[in-house]
Amino acid sequence: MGYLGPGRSGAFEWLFQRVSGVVLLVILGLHFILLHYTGGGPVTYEAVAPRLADPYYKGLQLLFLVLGLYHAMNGIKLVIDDYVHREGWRILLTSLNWVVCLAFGLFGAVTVLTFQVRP
Amino acid sequence: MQSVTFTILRYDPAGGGEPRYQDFQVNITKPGMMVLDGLNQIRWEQDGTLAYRRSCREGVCGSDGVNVNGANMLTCVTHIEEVARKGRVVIQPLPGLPLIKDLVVDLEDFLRKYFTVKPYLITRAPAPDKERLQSPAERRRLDGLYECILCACCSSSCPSYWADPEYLGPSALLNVWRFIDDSRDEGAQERLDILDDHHGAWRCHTILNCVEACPKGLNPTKAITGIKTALLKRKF
Amino acid sequence: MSASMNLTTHRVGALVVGAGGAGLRAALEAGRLVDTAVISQVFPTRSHTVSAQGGIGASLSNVEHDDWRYHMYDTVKGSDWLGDQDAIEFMCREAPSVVIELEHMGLPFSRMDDGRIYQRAFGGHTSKFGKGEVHRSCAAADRTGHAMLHTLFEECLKQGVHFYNEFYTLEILLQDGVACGVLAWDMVRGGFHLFHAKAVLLATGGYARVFRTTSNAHICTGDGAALCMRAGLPSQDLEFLQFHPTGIYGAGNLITEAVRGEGGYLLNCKDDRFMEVCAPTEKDLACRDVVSRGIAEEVRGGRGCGPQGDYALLKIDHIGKDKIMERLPGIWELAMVFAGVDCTKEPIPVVPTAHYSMGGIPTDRFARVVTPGDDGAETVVPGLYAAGEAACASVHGANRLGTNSLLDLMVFGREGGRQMGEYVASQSSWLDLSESAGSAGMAEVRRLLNGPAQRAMGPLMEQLRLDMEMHCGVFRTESDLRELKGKLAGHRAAFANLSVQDKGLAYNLDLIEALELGHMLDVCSAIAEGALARRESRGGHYRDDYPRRDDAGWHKHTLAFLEPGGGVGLDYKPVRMQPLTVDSIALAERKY
Repeated sequence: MGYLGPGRSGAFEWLFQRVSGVVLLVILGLHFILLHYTGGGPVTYEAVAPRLADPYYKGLQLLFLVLGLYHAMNGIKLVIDDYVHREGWRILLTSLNWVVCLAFGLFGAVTVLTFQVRP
Repeated sequence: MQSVTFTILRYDPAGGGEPRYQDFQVNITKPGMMVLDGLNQIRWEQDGTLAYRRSCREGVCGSDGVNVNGANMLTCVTHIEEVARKGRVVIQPLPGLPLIKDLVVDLEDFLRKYFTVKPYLITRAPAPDKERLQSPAERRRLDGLYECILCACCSSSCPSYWADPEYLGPSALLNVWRFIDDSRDEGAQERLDILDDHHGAWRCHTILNCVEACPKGLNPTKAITGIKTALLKRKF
Repeated sequence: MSASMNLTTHRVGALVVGAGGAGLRAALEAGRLVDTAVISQVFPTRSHTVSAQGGIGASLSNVEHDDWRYHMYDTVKGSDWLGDQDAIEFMCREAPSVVIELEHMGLPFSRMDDGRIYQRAFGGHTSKFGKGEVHRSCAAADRTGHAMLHTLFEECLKQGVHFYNEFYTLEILLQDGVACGVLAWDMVRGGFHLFHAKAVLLATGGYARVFRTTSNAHICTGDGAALCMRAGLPSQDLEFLQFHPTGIYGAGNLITEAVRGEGGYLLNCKDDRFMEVCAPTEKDLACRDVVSRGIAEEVRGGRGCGPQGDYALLKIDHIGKDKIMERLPGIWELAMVFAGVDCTKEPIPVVPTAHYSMGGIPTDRFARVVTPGDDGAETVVPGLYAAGEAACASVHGANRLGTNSLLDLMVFGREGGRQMGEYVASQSSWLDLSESAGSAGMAEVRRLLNGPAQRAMGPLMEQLRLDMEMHCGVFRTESDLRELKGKLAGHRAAFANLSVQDKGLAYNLDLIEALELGHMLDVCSAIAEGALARRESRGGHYRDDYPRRDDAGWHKHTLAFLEPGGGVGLDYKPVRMQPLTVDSIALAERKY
């Protein structure tokens, strides 16, 4: 068959792609507002670091990270499914997709979680 | 425009060779000549071995879907002038389907998928003596669905269909929605069971090639959205 | 000879040849009783029924009071009294039930506000024996045939009918006068297939493709009638060919009568509604033969439209864009594509176009094929049935009413299927086939494939169709028909020496078209002979040199037999004037 489907009907993936898309849009808006329209003054380490160290903000960043990566990975998987027809290439690219996403996820999570304000 | 070059993909299963392109000159003998008229002219006057399907020559029987200059269409309702680019028309069989000969493709798998979705009215209540009643508004819901001619232009233009040999494809999905959305039908649940599958409705990635390809102006993607909505309502 | 030229034998109970409306309806019916298979030249939904537009006639009384007796009267009158009244009564009485049955199968009929089936007015249909208007045509927008064919095919899928698609029939097998199967050619892979059956129903469609300007599909080449004649059986009334008044100028594609049923009308170059003169009562909704002659007379009289003055205009824009797009969407599309005309703004250029074969394989009202025999004009051929346009029951006589074709398919498809099913159930075993069964069909294919390719076949077919149109069209004369006979003899001689360019087995369209050309030549010979002999004008057959109907001499059906030398012999049989339960509708002058 050569189709590396999720083994489920695909309903969840379809729905969650849309839900994550909407949530991402909201978080992205929030992110922009926080970055550009709050705090005034020049963007310095002293101004930004405390916010990044805030546990609530870390939660938001983690949500952003997880949803963003899921959304991107699911999207790329669909593109591979549709346009890569050779089985070998499909397995390679799908695996690569996983590896890259997991790596980014790990890297992102470590960065967000371990951040502390250095005086 | 006096004459147009038809570049046709030729394939002879008996020859054992690979498909190849062959050029023919078609004389424009009357205004409004269709691609089918050109093909007939070639076969009748130049090369009797050219094979293609045709029947009604007015766009309702669905025999003659082919790929012209990269887009799927019916030869009998496509004006040569409209599609010719620099005096040339490139004609290939519908993509993604097994070849039989020249422009004739094997539709068995395409039709098997259509048969799979139970494309017929399913009723449980015994029929009344007279007709079943259906309001004009309920009937209007079938417009844009029942007109399908099974020409395979949509499914064979769909990247998801090319990629997944088990995907039902836009044509079968449009045809199943024609029944699910029929106020007289009572088979929605058993059909939705078939469609709730990663080779079913969920395989549609809203690429919209089917909408572009349909020679009858139907919108399979919209029908598939209807199916997805019905599936989600049932599930969540 | 290559391996795939071998003969494969199949054994089936009931065999249906042709998967249009009549074939599918028959298969459904026979399939309920016995093992049934269908062979078809095209995938079933590509059959020509798909092109029918306007509707199916039935006295449902959904709009106003209607009665099957009125329908019967209109049909007899429309047939110019050449229709057999027992078959007509049967058809009109059964009509409401077949329509309701189709609705139950799921046919997406258009609806009235109260949810019942929408009915529209149609040419030649009246109420109270010609005194009032009636809405009798049950329609699914202007795609009734498409909706019907798909619905029947869907029902066949549900029932599990067995199909052999893209098989072309070469020969009807008769064993001592009893039907026992057909020989067919597998179009996709090549190779002969012998279908050994207990009974055969022919639903192979009409022959209007023999004319150049035609509304018919490429496949409507009179295969059924030709194969019957080759098997020694007669064909009936082939000279009666209906010219539909409104084919698109230049292309021939049909513009349904429903356009006039919804309020459209015809104009000549002076903007006159000439049908008001030709048929003062019914006007544009007179019978098709009358309107076709109306248009042809305008053109002949120099009142045609366009630079050559060779067409009429069909105006419909006055009923409004919304109504057109709701009720005639397919017509809008056809006019746009084939005439380049937006019919919500401009009139459509139209000419009469060869449309429907009233003649065909003679049957009785049970769809059993009949032939003159020891016990009179109608002896049943055991095991052989015919229905639909291929058959001649005869319910259409000399001219068919609009909407009666789809009705014919359903009524006689159902009846034929039922009769065949019962017959097959009563036969305990298959007849033995003789050694020579199928040899003629195989020889024909081998001759066409193996001979040297001398000339392209296309020009010959085009010339034949042009000759038929020039010499045997709306108006016919003795001298024209004699000239046609000479030309046909020449074409037959050319065909006898012809072989196809394509020598392959897989999807050999060249071969199929050559076989069709052979069938067309047989049909054309019978048309020409019948038309030449019939010195009167009746319905679709109009003789300029004999412009009146002659009941004393010609109130009878033509039977044409193919003679060994390629000639055609004629015989005649009386019209069945006695209906089943009502009084006979006596001969009268036909006025609209």
